[in-house]
Amino acid sequence: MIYLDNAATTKPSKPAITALMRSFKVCGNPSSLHQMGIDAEKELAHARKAIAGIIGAKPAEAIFTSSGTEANNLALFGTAKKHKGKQIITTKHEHSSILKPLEKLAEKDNFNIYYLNTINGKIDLDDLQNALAEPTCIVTTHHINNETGIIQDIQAIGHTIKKHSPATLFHIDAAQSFCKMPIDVADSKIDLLTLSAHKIGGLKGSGALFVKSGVNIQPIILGGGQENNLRSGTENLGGIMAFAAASTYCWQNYKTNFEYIKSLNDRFRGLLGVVDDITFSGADTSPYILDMDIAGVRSEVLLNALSAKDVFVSSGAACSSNKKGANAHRAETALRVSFGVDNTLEEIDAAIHIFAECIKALRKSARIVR
Amino acid sequence: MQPTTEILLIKYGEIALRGGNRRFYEDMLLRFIKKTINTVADGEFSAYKEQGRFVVQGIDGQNPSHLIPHICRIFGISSVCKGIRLTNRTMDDVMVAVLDYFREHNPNPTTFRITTKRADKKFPGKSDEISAQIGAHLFAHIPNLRVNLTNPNFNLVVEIRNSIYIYSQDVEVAGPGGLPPGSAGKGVLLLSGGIDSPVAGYLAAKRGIDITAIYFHSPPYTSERAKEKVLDLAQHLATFTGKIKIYCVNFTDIQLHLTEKTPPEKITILLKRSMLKMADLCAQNEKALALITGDAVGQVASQTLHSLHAMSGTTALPILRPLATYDKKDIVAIAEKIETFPISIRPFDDCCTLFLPKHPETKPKLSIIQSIESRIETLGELYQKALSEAEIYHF
Repeated sequence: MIYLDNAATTKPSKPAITALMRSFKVCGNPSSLHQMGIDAEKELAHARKAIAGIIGAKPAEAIFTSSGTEANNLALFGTAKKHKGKQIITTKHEHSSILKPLEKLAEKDNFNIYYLNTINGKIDLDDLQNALAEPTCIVTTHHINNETGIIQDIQAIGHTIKKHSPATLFHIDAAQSFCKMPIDVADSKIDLLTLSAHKIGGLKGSGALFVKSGVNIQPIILGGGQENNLRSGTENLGGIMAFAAASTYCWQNYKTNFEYIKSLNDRFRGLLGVVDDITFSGADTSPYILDMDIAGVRSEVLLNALSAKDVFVSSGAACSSNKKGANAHRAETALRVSFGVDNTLEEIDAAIHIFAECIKALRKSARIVR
Repeated sequence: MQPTTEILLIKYGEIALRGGNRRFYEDMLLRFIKKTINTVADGEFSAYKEQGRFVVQGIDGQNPSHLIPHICRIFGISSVCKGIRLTNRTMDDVMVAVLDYFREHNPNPTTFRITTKRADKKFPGKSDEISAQIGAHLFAHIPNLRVNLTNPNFNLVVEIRNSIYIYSQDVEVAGPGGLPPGSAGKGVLLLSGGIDSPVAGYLAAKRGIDITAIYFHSPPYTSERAKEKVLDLAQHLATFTGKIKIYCVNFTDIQLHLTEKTPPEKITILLKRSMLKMADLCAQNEKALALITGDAVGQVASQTLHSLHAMSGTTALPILRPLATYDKKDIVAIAEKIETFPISIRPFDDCCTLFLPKHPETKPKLSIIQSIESRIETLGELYQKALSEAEIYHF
């Protein structure tokens, strides 16, 4: 089995599993007033501090959620009604947990959603500056695109926003970049930042939203007032402790990991030596995600063929950037390979071999299949 | 007072009309009822035959009401009703029991009706006289009671058989009707992940056909999830039929081979003919007597009457098309009722759209189709190979 779909989810890392096991002994409710509750709350505070520290935030600014999706929903629904400006700025290349809430806000609350131009997938800063002439509630985009791996220059975006429209909030979905490259919320003038645990060796069902202190948002889940009144519901302590342990482990090794992942990515590009007519995503992308376009082979079919040989990848990588029209069929032939620290060079070599075999076979029948 | 036992009284429709074969059908249905109640509650309930009825009762007098939803799914059953059984068969006993039953089940009585069915003709008195006698007993003990024969709010039935059964017709639950599972012999159902073929399978099974399903998939052009969906459909159908065997046939090589050698507008017909031919081979293995498809006349290009005619000569077996004359909305209504619909609409294509032509022929000519088919070599071998390599699942 060769798992090359680490942008979808990762295996829990050893420190995360150890932390989870430890959490079973801390079975109090962090909100309880007795000693067991206090013990649980201490673990929660420790986790909050660890995660906030990685992005240069204060512990109180980290709000634990059930997922990155919930964090994105909280960021958008939570601010839209509290802040002035009937415009929200984003791109067409966001995760559905951003696009769907924005569609809802446009439909129900008459927000005008402005989709920025992108140049090779990266936000056009001039277009952003022009768009900010309209009163804008929030700018929301991703750090690393989950399908193409393209990295946004969040520092430049943040500075453009705050220079031209200081009251506009800046939200970044960092699900694919957290602990894989440095993020400094103050440096990039970020007000809200989405994190997800299971992309870095944590568990599914655990995420967080950084909310800069002083930024006023309203909760979307009401109840006991946990998480500074922003996310009611008893905290998922096991998930949170595993999240903190996974983050710390990943962040401590991020430079080594980055170089290692880069070597896997470079190695995989050797596929081009075995099969022709493959276009890989360009420079300025995260080495963790390798987006490719394989001419003449539908990605879904290749995915099934690879799966039958125990190689697991992902399709559905949409057209990167502004290639609409000119290359509209590309989405059908785009494939995403995403690497993790558990992958080995031997696995990559084996995967290349299987890829080549499948692509050749499918291209052979492609003349039959219309 | 004599003890009464809580029972389920099961009525069966059509098989009661059968002459010499009646006993065969009754025994088959009884076996299926026993199997069903033992699956739900092993060894706790017994079932027996009783002059045109089946009766289910607890071994130690347990209330069998919770078995109703399971029993009323069984093909061949027209209704299930909970009631009580009396083994002492004197009029005095009946009247005491009816009064108790009446008080217990109808605390605020207004209008009522009593129907007596005297299946045991040796029991003294005529049915109407017995009803009148019981009615008089009720009037004497319950104030403000009126008879209403057309629209009573309590409709009591007394059936006089080897035992006496008392029940309220108001709580009778309809069964599916049809014939006992498997009583008609075996048929091979061409099952896809769509809406129609599971419904066709259900309707065929309802007429007593023992279903073996065959599913064609085309990996890697169709996904593993499409196959999972079809297996889920088969498993769900088995909740009605008791069991289902399904062949999953890898169709990719045949599909590629045919697509390569056939004009695009004719490919759909040739693919369907191949499926029927393989279903026919499967039927020979299984000693089945018919093929069953979900075709509805005119629904899509491959289901026009011309297209159905162009399927001729693929099998010597009868092809049953239970949905031939159904509108789509009526098929959907059945799919919803039998709960295959939510499975069928899962978004995984099972007949790869890559192989579908833009403009399929709607009036194919059988002779032309057959002549194209006859020029394609090695098809027979490919069919045999695919069938021998089929994965088989039992539900």
